[in-house]
Amino acid sequence: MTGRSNRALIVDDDDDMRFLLRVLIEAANEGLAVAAEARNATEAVDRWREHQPDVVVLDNRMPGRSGLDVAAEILAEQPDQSIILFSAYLDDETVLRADALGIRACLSKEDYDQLPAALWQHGPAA
Amino acid sequence: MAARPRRLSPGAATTFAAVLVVAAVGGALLAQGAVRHRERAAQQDRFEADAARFEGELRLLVSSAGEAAAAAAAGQTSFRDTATQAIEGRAARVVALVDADGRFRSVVARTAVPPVTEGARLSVLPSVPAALDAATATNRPRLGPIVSLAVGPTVVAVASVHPTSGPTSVAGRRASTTGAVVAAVPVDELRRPVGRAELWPGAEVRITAPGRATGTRIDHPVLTTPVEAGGVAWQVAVGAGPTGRPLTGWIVLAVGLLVAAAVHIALRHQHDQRARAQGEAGTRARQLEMIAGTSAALQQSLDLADLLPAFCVNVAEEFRLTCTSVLVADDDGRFIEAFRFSPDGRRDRGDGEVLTEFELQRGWRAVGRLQTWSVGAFDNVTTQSLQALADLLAVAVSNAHLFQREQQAVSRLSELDALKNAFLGTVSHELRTSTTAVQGFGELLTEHWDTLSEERRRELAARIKRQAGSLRHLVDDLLDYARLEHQTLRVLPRHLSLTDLVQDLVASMSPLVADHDVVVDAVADVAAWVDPIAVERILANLLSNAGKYSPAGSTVTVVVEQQGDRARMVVADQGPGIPSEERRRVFVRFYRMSNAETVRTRGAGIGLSILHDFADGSGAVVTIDDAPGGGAYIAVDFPTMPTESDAVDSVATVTGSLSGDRS
Repeated sequence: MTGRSNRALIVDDDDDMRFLLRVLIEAANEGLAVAAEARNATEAVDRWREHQPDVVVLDNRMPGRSGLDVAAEILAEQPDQSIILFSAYLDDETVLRADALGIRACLSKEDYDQLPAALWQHGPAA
Repeated sequence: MAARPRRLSPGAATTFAAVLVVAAVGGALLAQGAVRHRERAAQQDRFEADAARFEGELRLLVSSAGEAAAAAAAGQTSFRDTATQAIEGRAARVVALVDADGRFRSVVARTAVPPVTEGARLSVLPSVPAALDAATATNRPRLGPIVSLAVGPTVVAVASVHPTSGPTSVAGRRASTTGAVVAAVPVDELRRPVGRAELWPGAEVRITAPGRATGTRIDHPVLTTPVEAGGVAWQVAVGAGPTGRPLTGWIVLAVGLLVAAAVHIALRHQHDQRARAQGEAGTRARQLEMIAGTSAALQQSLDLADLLPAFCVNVAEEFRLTCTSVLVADDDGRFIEAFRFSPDGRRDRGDGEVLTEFELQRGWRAVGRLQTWSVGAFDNVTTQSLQALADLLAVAVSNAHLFQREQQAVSRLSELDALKNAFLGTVSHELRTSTTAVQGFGELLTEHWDTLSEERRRELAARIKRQAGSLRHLVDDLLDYARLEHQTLRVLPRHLSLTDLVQDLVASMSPLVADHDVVVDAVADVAAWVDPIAVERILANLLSNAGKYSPAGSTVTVVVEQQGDRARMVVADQGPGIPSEERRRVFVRFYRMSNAETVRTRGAGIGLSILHDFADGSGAVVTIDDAPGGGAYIAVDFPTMPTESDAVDSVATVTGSLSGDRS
């Protein structure tokens, strides 16, 4: 696995959550890296264009436009972009909509420790 | 109502016929009366001419007879002698004695006369004047039998005069009669001297005694002479009887016309009454139909906006109203015009238009009022119909009100339900985010302690602490909320220094505004009558709010000062502030402002509502304003001494409320 790189864009309005994900990714090492962070939908789209990350880790519930809105915009521009919806509150409707949009995976925030594995699963080599 | 063509009623026809008959009869009578009157007048003229010719003779006869009778009555001589004397003295041609029963007792004549036949009557003697003339001229009258006397006892005897001794039969004597002689013979026995005899057509004799005048009136006497006999003064009058009355026809006609008019008026009145009753019945039937239709229409909807226009238009058309208006009572019982319909769009009542009001009663309650303008006042039927319509409308208005109230209740409940759902979503998100963060940081620390830098480890620990504080605040809010829901939150006020309390609390609450610059501007020793726990919860919510809604790095100012007789605590920030139209709603539980700036923040939406309830329980007043440089300025004015309600019950109980009405 050495030499593989997997750069993630972290989108979450909560500062602690972004920090947690950043430290988790850094601690996991093994080529995982944080390309950038964004606090809302507008920042997310800007950072995505700017950094072209391998995976977008996207919170759904954010002020203004939601994570699903961001996903729709990104996937409209680049349909094969790998996106993981990382949400505190995943109901059936949200999961169905995410699936319909072409989001690769939905991960509950409670299962944050599975994020590194999910990043590799849906990362560039996948 | 439309004017109907006037037809001749049966009653009027009867009247008309009656008038015709009466007029015909009256006319005939008038004509007949006129003819008779003319005949009478001619006869009177003839009679008077005849009477004038024989006046002297008649007077002579009567007065001589009177003398003879008087002498006989005085007992000087016998009746026969007296009578004979009279006859020989040419005072009389014949003297007859008639008793009280009208029988002839004795008749003395110049020559022997046949026996008197009782009951003989003189009907028509057209030749009387000629016979008298002849008798006077020859001085030898030949007297026939007495053929006529008045009905009943009388002093008047009439004998026939015929020139030769005639046949013995009555019919024969009558046939040969050519004249008559009249003699007045008083008798002692005479008691009822009333009677009449017709001397010739139209000529009558009437004898009266004072106080006993009866019989036919003599309008034009040609001879009037007193006769003294039997101690009674008699009056003998000869003349024409009562003439015909030409006015009778006129009177009959007038009476007939009056009767006819009266009958006509009575029938007309009856007809009018019947027509009016029929008209009223027709109107009533039509109005009942209209009422039934309106009743059905009023049940079609529970919305006054649908009901009232249709109602007003229908009523105005049916009853020809110039304006129809419905007033509906509001919750305070004031009447407010809900709908007005005027076919010509007028707002002002014209001259001669009558305003009529019908109360809309539902039980004892007046739910509204129906006002109408009409040209002229209503009749009874219309008034009753409109009252019936008003009663129906009252039911409809009452139902519409109930429905509206139900709908408002449902709407409030569903709004609250939506707010609660949003609240649950927010709380879930908040709790999960915080617990996930704390758990994640803890796990990183325990599992990667050795690989993490010293600085990272410190930061993780600091973040754990801050998240724990945030969680505690959220949990406190939820517990307060749970207590408020069950109305068990209690406020126990006491005297203390608000300045000291606030300064201590701000120091302990720094995590809530960790990214802000907090400035405390407190006047020393501002005393207040408060529960420190209430102040803590109020301040915590105000600071938490300021921390959430104002940008990081900005200043949050806490002020404590005296405000009149109250102790004021203020938290002001440099955030977007609270728009005035939102100020009432921010205290509604679960409510969060919906603009783009505020949705960025976290929060369960119950903080300000809890703040409000605590402030209310403490007798404090919350004011929201704009801070001088923009941003929210929330002031809480606490009492400085026990309030009246505290005196009654030193424990003020905070009542939970789901509405923001008290702000």
